[in-house]
Amino acid sequence: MGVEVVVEGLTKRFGSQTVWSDVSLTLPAGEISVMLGPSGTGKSVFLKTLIGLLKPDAGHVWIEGVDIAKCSRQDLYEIRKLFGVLFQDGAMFGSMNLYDNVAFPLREHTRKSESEIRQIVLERMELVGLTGAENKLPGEISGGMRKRAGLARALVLDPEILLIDEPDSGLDPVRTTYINQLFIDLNAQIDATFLIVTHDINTARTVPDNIGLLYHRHLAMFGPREMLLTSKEPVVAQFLNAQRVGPIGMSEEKDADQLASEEGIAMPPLPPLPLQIEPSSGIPRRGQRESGAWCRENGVVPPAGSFPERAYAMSLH
Amino acid sequence: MALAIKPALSRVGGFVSLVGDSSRAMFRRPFPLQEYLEQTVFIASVSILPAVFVTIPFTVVVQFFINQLLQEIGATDLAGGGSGFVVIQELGPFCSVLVVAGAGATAVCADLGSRRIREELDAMETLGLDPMHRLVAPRVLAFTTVALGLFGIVSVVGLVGTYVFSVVIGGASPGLFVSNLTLVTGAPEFIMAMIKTLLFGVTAAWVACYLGMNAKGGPKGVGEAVNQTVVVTLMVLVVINSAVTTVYLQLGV
Amino acid sequence: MSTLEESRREIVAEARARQIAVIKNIPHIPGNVIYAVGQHMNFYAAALAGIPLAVTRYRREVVRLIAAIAFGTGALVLVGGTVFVVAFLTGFAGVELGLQGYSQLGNIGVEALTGFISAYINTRLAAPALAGIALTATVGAGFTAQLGAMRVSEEIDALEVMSIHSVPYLVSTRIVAGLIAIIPIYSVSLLASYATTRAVVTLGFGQSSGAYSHYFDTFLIPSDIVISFIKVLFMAIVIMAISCYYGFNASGGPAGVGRAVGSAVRLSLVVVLFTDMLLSFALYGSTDTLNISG
Repeated sequence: MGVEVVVEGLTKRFGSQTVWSDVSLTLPAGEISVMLGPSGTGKSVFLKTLIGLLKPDAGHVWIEGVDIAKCSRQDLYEIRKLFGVLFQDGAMFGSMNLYDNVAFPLREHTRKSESEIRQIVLERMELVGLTGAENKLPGEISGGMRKRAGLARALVLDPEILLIDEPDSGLDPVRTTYINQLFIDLNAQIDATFLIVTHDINTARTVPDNIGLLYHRHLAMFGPREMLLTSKEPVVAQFLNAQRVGPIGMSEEKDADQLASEEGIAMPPLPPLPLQIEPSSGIPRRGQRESGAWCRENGVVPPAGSFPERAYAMSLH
Repeated sequence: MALAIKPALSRVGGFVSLVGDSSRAMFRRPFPLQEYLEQTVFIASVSILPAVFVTIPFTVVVQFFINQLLQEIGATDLAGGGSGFVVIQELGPFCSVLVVAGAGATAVCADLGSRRIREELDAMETLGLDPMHRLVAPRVLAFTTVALGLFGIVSVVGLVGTYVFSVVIGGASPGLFVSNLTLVTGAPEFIMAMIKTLLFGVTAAWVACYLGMNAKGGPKGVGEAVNQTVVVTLMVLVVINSAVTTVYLQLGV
Repeated sequence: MSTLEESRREIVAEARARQIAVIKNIPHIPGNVIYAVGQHMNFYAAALAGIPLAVTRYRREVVRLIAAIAFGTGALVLVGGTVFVVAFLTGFAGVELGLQGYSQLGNIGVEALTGFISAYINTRLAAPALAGIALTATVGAGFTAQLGAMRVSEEIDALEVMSIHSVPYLVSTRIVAGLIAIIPIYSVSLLASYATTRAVVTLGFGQSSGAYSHYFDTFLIPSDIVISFIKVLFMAIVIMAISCYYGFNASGGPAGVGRAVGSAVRLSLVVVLFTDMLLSFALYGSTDTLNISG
């Protein structure tokens, strides 16, 4: 029912260049977390390090008592069976149709009969809305369909942890909203731990329980959604609200001159906080918290107009 | 099958029009001299080392079998004649074009293919630049230049290689080897070999440019275009090879 | 695309970092060569070590690949598949041998021996060498293109995260399937070279087919044919290993796949011809199997 991922002091370098160093965070079991960051800050590298495709230079990634950063190849292959990964473009095998792609992990890792496999595959394909496309080849379908097919394949072994690399890249806003709703509904249904890597702030503002922000070769902040959305920390506020004013420039960091010229300009006020997307079944997810709960507990007053539906509902009383 | 014929025909048509357009573009001014020089250096840089290392084993193994044959009929001293024949008439043009196809054409196709995918070719056309004039024509000439240069290198390497193999290792007489070199290989044969090389070079360039500029479908498309380039140039190569030999023999020199 | 590019660049950079660590104390260029050779050798060792797994667990994949190799996929179907391409090239080698053999032997008045030349040169030299070159262009370049595309579209990473051992699954299976598919491909190709030489000499130059057959049959030695197959199988292993290496380690998007195919073809051509030369010395070193004068 979801597995906790504990990252301790993780550091990754390519040659003399540090991608990020000393990243420590805990992805709580069964919750949805989003890792944000400007382009080129190594978000995908972080995701690939969690699954052992890249070896970190220092630090640990603990999953059920196994350290992915240090364990043997055999253990790594064993622990990876807990994971489902959705790659950017789906990474479907071009030589197989969608059905065989989705059935692939079942055929390789289980002793299920073809009829059991068929049942599971069709169920997963229905879940992602691809019923009827079983015989299509990956080359024949749109990028959005490939992503959903990739999701069906990632789900087929009932993963405890689901890693998702840029689900919104190449999708239009409507498709993005649909796929975000799908993640929420999936989390409600399978209770796995989700990590979504993205730079789409709309996704970050409405989907997750927790947000992390990678910036300037370190983890700037990681915590509950409302904590980051109400944070006055300049990097966090700038990125989550897509502002020009702040420490992030066109090429990652602004130079001293630019920052000096912004000296007098105050950060614009925070916009209202949106509600978190709810499961379409209406039954709350296990990891879900009531919108505004964190703010209340920590004595933070959210910007005026936050949580619009709740405000509306309260005004009725 | 019937379905496959139409695209095949349209490909042939596309290829022929590329050949025509680029040939005409060759004479259009200003000639893109810098592109020509850059491409010549580029193709030469990927071809010279492979050319040397393809020629050595190829000529030596051919000489090995020819020497065995000559030994059988008791004519070891004809090794020089065999060498001249093998190196200049057959393997010289063949090796140089093998390398032009395998090294130069693949590199050019990969380059043009990725320009197509990155939409650089579209960008050129919107800027009013004709890719035939700017890209294809200088490449065709660069290929021809490099193929001829490689033919020279391959001939020297091949003759030295077979000399070392037959005389130094095999014990044939050095004087006879050298004097027999020209026994069956004279000026007409040399000219025929040059013509072969020229034809090979030009064709390889056209094939590489055509397939590269028509690549589509991302990484897989570029990879397949390069794959096709090697296959098609090799097939065209052997056809031209036999055709030129037949014409030469018909001339009855 | 950007993150894909990013991560590829990062992986390259990572390799470079390791490389720097390894060769810190050795002068640079030989160090790079040693490092590259080491990388190749590690890969080939892993590919060979994966063969048992390939023939037991991934047999389905092997069977699929055999058909894909023989008939070609994608690019090759348009020009008739691997069998056709290889036979086409060896066939034209046979044509050239017929043309030059007949006229050169004619110069010394023994054109009757062209049948012998066909049995001797086609079997030992022309067919295997051309087949090696043709396999580089078809099977080899095809493998590099396929694996390279899989690498840059993260399909190999996807296999790894699904706990599939990617080298046995992708590379060892290809080597096994290739070796099986080569046998019929080369049989057809060798026959094509015999047939074309014969056609040129008997139909083109008008030699009587009886005379041609006499010398051809007399000097067609079974052990020569077996050795010819052995040469081609060795060359095939070399080609497939090199091609898979470049595809498996491709990086840098579509352009990178194109470059990988080019590099694979260059190295394969050189290594294949050296393999051919060394095997010829080793396997055909003694000439007592032939006795033309007696």
